[in-house]
Parts: sequence; C-alpha cells; structure tokens
Amino acid sequence: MSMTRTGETASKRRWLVPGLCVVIAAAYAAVFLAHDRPLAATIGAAIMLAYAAVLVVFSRRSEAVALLREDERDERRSMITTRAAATTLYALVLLALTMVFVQLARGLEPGPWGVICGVGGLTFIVATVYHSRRY
Amino acid sequence: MRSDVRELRAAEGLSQQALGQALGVSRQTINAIEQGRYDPSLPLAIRMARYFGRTVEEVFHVDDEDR
Repeated sequence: MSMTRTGETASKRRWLVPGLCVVIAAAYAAVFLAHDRPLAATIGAAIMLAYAAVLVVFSRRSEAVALLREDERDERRSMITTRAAATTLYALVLLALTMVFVQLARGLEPGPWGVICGVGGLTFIVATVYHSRRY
Repeated sequence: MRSDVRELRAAEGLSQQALGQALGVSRQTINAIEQGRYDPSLPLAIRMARYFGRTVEEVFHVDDEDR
C-alpha cells in the first residue's frame, strides 16, 4: 500500500486503531459495569485508553508504535506487519494445539480449542488455495 | 543487496525524509534500503532509479551471496 494515498484517507486511517481502542475501552466498561464490577470496568477501560494514548503520542517518535497505529503504510511496513501477524498466528496455533492435547489428555473434549484449531486450519487451507491462484 | 542510494541521495543534498516523501515511503524504509537491511520491491527500485536518472542496475548491486 502506497503512502501516496490521499491525505484525507491517510488521516482517517491514522485514527482508526486509536478509535478502535476507545470503542473497546467503552465495551469493557459496559460489560463489566453490567455485571456490577466497577473496578474491572475501570481497569479494563484504562488499559485500552492508555494504549490508545501511547499510539497517538509516540507514533511520530517510534516506527514500531507507528506500525501499531497503522500510520503511513509503505511496502516495507506492510511486510513487517505481515510477518508480525504470521508470528502471532504461530503463537496462537501453538497455544490452541497444546490446549487441545491437554484437554484430550485429561479425558475431556477439546471444546473451544478444537473449534479454534478447526477454523484456523480450514481458513489457512482456503487462503492458501486463494492466494496461490491469485499470484 | 548493496545499493548506491546513500551516495546518490547525498549528492542530491536530500535527507532520508525528503527522499522518502518523494518516493512515497517512510524515512525508515529509505534508511533500511541504504543499510542493506531491506531489498525494495521491483516497482520501488525502478522508481528510485528513475528518480536519480539511473538504471536499476546502476543503483542496486546483487552480489553472489545475495542470490
């Protein structure tokens, strides 16, 4: 994705992730308050708002923070984001597979972990087929 | 991959930020290319070469160990 996008679109994109953090903070607060847990609501919302603040304040000073904010994309930054996403996926797959076998070893059903592995595996197969035909 | 981007940029009196803006990439990406940490895509390599009025082969140098 080029940084030559229109300034207006790029400006909107810069506020997408911080805005999402604020929405998540509000969701945390609403859910915890609905269950009468004001402390958890405060902490959950504060963490997300602090994260949003870090993104806004430090995105001009740190490239890593700019990447987390989805600020000013170019081909190298897209590659970094893709590799970071792949690393994250490996960690999640390792966790889900480990938990599936832990559940099975306990004589229990895999439950949500099995669903995650199934959906993840199927998505990977479909995505591989799609991208292999596209490129 | 080695490149002459730093020398060409310096000869033009450009900062990494200015070159990045001219090419539509970040300052850090220009720095990574100059340091040899990042190999640009073919379109970006062509844009850089054209910017300096050179061919891609004149700007970027592929050594045997890069293959």
